[in-house]
This record gives sequence, structure tokens and C-alpha cells, in this order.
Amino acid sequence: MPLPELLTVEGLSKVFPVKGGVFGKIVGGIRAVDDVSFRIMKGEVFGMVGESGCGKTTLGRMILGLLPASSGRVIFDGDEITSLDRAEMRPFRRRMQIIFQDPVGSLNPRKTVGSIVGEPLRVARRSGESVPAEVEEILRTVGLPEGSAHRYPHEFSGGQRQRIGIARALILRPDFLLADEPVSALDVSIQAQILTLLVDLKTRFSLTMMFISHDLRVVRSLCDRVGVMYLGRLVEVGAAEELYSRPMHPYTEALIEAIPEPDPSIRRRSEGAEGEMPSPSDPPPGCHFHTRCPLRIDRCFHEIPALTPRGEGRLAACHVR
Amino acid sequence: MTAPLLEVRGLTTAFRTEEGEIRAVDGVSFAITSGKILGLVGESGCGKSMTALSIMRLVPPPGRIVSGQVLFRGRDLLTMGEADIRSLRGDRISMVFQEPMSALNPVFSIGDQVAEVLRVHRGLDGKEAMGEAERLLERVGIPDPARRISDYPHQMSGGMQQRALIAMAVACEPEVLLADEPTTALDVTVQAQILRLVEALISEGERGALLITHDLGVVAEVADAVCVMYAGSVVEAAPVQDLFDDPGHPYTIGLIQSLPTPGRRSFHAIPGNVPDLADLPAGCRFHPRCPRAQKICSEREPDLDGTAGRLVRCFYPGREHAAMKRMI
Ligand SMILES: Nc1ncnc2c1ncn2[C@@H]1O[C@H](COP(=O)(O)OP(=O)(O)O)[C@@H](O)[C@H]1O
Ligand SMILES: Nc1ncnc2c1ncn2[C@@H]1O[C@H](COP(=O)(O)OP(=O)(O)O)[C@@H](O)[C@H]1O
Ligand code: SF4
Ligand SMILES: [Mg+2]
Ligand SMILES: [Mg+2]
Repeated sequence: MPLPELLTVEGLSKVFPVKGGVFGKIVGGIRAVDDVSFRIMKGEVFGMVGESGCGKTTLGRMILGLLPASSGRVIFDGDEITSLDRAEMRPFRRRMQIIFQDPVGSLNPRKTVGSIVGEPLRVARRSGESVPAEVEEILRTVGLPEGSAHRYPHEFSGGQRQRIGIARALILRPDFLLADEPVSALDVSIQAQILTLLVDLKTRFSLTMMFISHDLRVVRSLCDRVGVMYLGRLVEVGAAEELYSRPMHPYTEALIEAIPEPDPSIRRRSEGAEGEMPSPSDPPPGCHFHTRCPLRIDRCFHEIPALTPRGEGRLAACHVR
Repeated sequence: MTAPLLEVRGLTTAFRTEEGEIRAVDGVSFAITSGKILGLVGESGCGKSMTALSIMRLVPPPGRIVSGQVLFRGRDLLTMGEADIRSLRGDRISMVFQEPMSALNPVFSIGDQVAEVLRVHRGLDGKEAMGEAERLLERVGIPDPARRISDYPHQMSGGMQQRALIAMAVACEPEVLLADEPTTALDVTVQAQILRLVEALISEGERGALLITHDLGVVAEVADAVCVMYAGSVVEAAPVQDLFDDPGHPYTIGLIQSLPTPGRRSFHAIPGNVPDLADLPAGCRFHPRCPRAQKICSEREPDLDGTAGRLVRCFYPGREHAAMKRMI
């Protein structure tokens, strides 16, 4: 029987060593991702939100095997992929693809669009043969104009460059697409073009997606379920509409409260959460959020709350809520 | 209506480029009034920063102000002598930038940098200036200011750097505050704190602000009135509630519609791209992307037209024409 989930993440952590002194000895660690577990169901769009530096990109790179995990496991469609070597990973590479925030930085300026987009196919087939028909087809699918294959990335606008990145990710017909802030660098009118394309491609290619973003408005519209990260830890998971209309974790509530609503008649006057996210090199003990939390109790200062089920598929990590 | 604190009239700022002269700011007019926040909104490259820098006479070369007036207390900032504008800058009119790290000097403590403003413009001595700097850092919400006053910019978070920059900007109680995307580089919870701070600073005293942003949510939350810019020119100006209730320009309508709607997985895009300023379309510069465009739109440029405080640069503005277009 096929599994309902495509991706399972179990206790995933990443500690980046911090070097110091003249000899560059390891003097500490940044716990960028801290014991994160969740699942993504087949066909789902799963959103991961949180403020910059909370570990979203690091988590995504570990899931795709682009960065080794310090501990924990990633299970893709029933197979554990965390411990695979390059050769063993190859079939999974084809099935798991990524698009980045910065389409410019991720596209080789000296190669034509056709060559960039066709490259994954040539690597997968281990042949130097050109693959013009398939390239033309995928370029058309993502909405690039005729003749784009022979042009260079710099000849395209920001939105079109993101389309090139999407074409490169989809040419191998993956099952899973990780989108790491794919529209954050784009203007709002262009963001909508790319989001519309992603929604369309999700259906057309039967994709399962993980959408990483700090833009809470976009995530609310796009995603089925949403996870919220704070200082490396997953603090809440729930169905998008549920989570936005009834946030459980005080941090989720603060985030949602802080979204500027494009409606002048509902101006807020409250300050929202006080302070800022502390550095992950020196996280507070207990609940990482306790330094900013209006609901904290004594227990929050020394005991890390576990992410526990709260019914209706919701999870939250808070001693009070 | 109160008399404006600062009035911009027909401001035009151009750059000479390989493709010819481009007008980054093209005939822009608006007024900043006391106790109010004027939002200046538009997508990247539409001329928002150059508008603010022109007001301060800080346009980087090869850019230059070609024409227009910036009236402040009956004087035109654009024609006054260099010494005069320098004494107003940072004193009566000051600016806050998007990237606090690049606006702060990395080799001086933030206390020194705030105190420096007070020494230059207020003639305070070193000790007085440091005392006042500490009070200002507290005012902008920097915790434990007595200790943080000797911190260097790199020791602070982006949010704290932005607070320090705001402390410098308001040190001399300026009448006009120009804030260029002050929260764009910040996270959403910190953005909310900084917006509250800007609001508080504007509501106290005889002061008005120009708040530049690309985020309509920010505009809706803090602005009293709004100017929408497109490709160097103002296409709509309105009180904030009117702008959202009854947007007049098809570009404004498109921008509002392109915001994600909760519970709907569909996104309304404005087709096409922002035009190249070196190669602007004839007529209305929005016409190639406009769902309402008619023949005249590609032939003549519409004027910014309407009644005071409610201006639209479009031949077919507002709801009425939206309905008409559907019938065609
Ligand atoms: N290669 C690295 N070496 C050391 N620290 C890193 C590295 N990559 C990321 N970090 C740190 O890990 C934390 C999480 O970063 P990141 O995953 O990029 O967050 P996000 O994507 O949520 O903004 C940050 O504090 C960041 O500075
Ligand atoms: N150094 C420069 N040389 C040539 N053109 C420039 C320069 N700086 C800015 N511009 C032009 O001015 C326009 C407006 O820039 P800017 O005011 O920074 O836009 P915004 O702040 O709205 O993003 C840009 O689209 C660009 O064409
Ligand atoms: S565990 Fe305590 S400190 Fe953490 S969010 Fe809940 S109430 Fe706040
Ligand atoms: Mg990231
Ligand atoms: Mg700018």
C-alpha cells in the first residue's frame, strides 16, 4: 500500500561549528536546526515560516541531502535517504528538486538558458547529448517566450529568471519540489505571476511542495499546512486556515499579529511581541521563546516544551497553550 | 487643511546613461503635512529613493535634479546655497535608510554617532551630547541604553541598528522625516515595532513624514495619505482609506489585487513587466499592461487630474470605467 506521506523528517538537527582564536579551533556551535520532526503528505503544499535566521534554509538543504545532518533522519517515500552516499542518492536527486530565492545567483551567466535547463537531464542520462525538444517543451510550460533557449540569463527580467530556475527544477519531472523563498526578491505584481505558475505546475505535474518563506500572507494563500519555526525549533504545525485564524503558540500569534494588513480600517496599535529573536549561537534555556513571551510561566525558563498533538492534526510546543 | 510642512512641485531628476537620458523622477508633486505620514509606494526602480534623495539634494552622480521646487518654510531647497542645505539636512529635515548597516559608520560607537549630530547642529559639548544621546537611544526603544551607547554597529541586530539610525534622524527634532523603506530589511515582528515608533515620533510635535515602501500592507497600516508611483511618475494620490476603498488608477487596482487573499489559492498578476525608463512607451506609461487601455492611451499621456487630495493619472479612472470596460 502506498504511504500517504511523501516525506518524513525525524529529529533533524544541524550544528555549525564556530571557530575561534588564532588556530581556528572549534569553540562552540550554532544549533541552526534543533530536533525538527514533521511529515509532508503526497500532493500537499507544506509551508515553513519563521523570521530570518531561524533555520529554514538549513532545514531545506538537509532534506535534499545538500547539507549533511548532524543528527536525525529524512525518509522519502519510504526510504531513508539521510545516510546514502552520492551514487545511492542519485535516483532520489531526480525526484527531489529545489528552486531558490535568488534566480540570478543560481544561474550560470556564461551558459545559455537551454544549456542550463537541459543540464539536469544530461547528467541524469549521463550523456552529453543535447536534449532540445524536452528543453523547448519545459520552457514553454513555464511561460518563457519562444527562442529563450538560445539567450543568456542576464537578458531576462527577475520574474523570467525565476521561470528559468523552475524549468531547470522540473525538467526531470520530480515528485517533490522545495521552493526556498522563490518570490521574495520579486516585486508584488511579478510575485503573483510566479505564484500562479507554481499553483498551475503543482497540478499539472502532481507535485508535492515544501514552500519556505518569511512572507506569511503568501504562505496563507498558497499552502495546505504550515509549520512555524523559531530559533531552530518547530513550534507549531497546523492546517493553514486553522493556524492563521486560531494560532496556538504565542510566537505564531505574535507573527500573525505583526502582518501589516492591507486594510486601513483595521489598524492595530499594539506593539506585538517585544524584543527580537536571540542569536542561535546562544539560545535561551527552556522554551526558546520565553524571553519574548507574554504568557511565560516559571517552567518556561528551564524546560523545553515538546511539540505535542493538539487534535485535528495540530501540533504545538508550549507549556501554557 | 493645514499648510504643508514641505511641498514638492514638478520634481524631475535625470540620469545620463548609455541609452540616453532617463528620468528617474519625472514631474513629481506632493505635500508633507504636520502630524501626518505620507506613504510613497511603488515597485522597485520606480523612483522612490531618488525622490527622497532629491529632496535632500543628495542625488548620486551622474544623476542630477533637472527641474522642480522643494518648498520648505517658504524657501526652495533646490536653489539655496550648499551651506544652507547642509545646515538643514539632519537638523530640520532628516532621512532614515533601508540598510542601517551601510548608513551607520562602522568605526564609531552608536553613542558617538548620535552625539555627533547634536554637536554639529546643536553645538552641545561632548558630555551634554552623550547624555542627550543616551536619552534618545532610550526614546527609540534600545534597552539598557547606558550600556549599549558604547556598542558598535556590528554588535547590534538589524532592528537595533535601525533604532539607532532613527535616534540620529530625530536627534534635532526635525520637522520632516524621510524614511526610505525603513523596515524592508527587518523581520515582521521587528517591523511592527519600528512602524509603531515612527508613528509615535510623528504624532508628537510639529512633524511630518514621507514613508517610502513597496508594501501596501505597511501603507495601509501607518500612512494617512498615499502617492503611488509608476516608472518615475505619480499615477495616483489619495487619502489612505480612499485608496483602498476606491482605487482610481488601473495600476493601483492591479497592485491591490495582486496581494494574496486568505483562503484563495489564486493570485492576480499584473501582466508584463515594469518598462525600461530609457525606452518608455508613448502615451500613458502603464498602457501596455493596462486592461482598460484604449487608443488614446497609447497616444497621449494623461494628466494627474482630480480634486484636491484625490488625483489620478488615467483617461479611464475608477469604478465607473471598470464597469464600462466590462460592457465593451
Ligand atoms: N554554513 C554556515 N555556517 C555557519 N552558520 C550558518 C551556516 N548557514 C547558516 N548558518 C546559521 O544558521 C542559522 C540559520 O540560518 P538559515 O537556515 O539560513 O535561516 P533562514 O533560512 O531561516 O533565514 C543562522 O544563524 C545562520 O547564521
Ligand atoms: N546610478 C544610476 N545610474 C543610472 N540610473 C540610475 C542610477 N541610480 C538610479 N537610477 C535609475 O533611477 C531609477 C529609480 O531608482 P530608485 O529611486 O532607486 O528606485 P526605487 O527606490 O523606487 O526602487 C532606477 O530605475 C534607475 O533607472
Ligand atoms: S512555552 Fe512558555 S515561554 Fe514558550 S511560548 Fe509557551 S508560554 Fe511562552
Ligand atoms: Mg533562508
Ligand atoms: Mg529605493
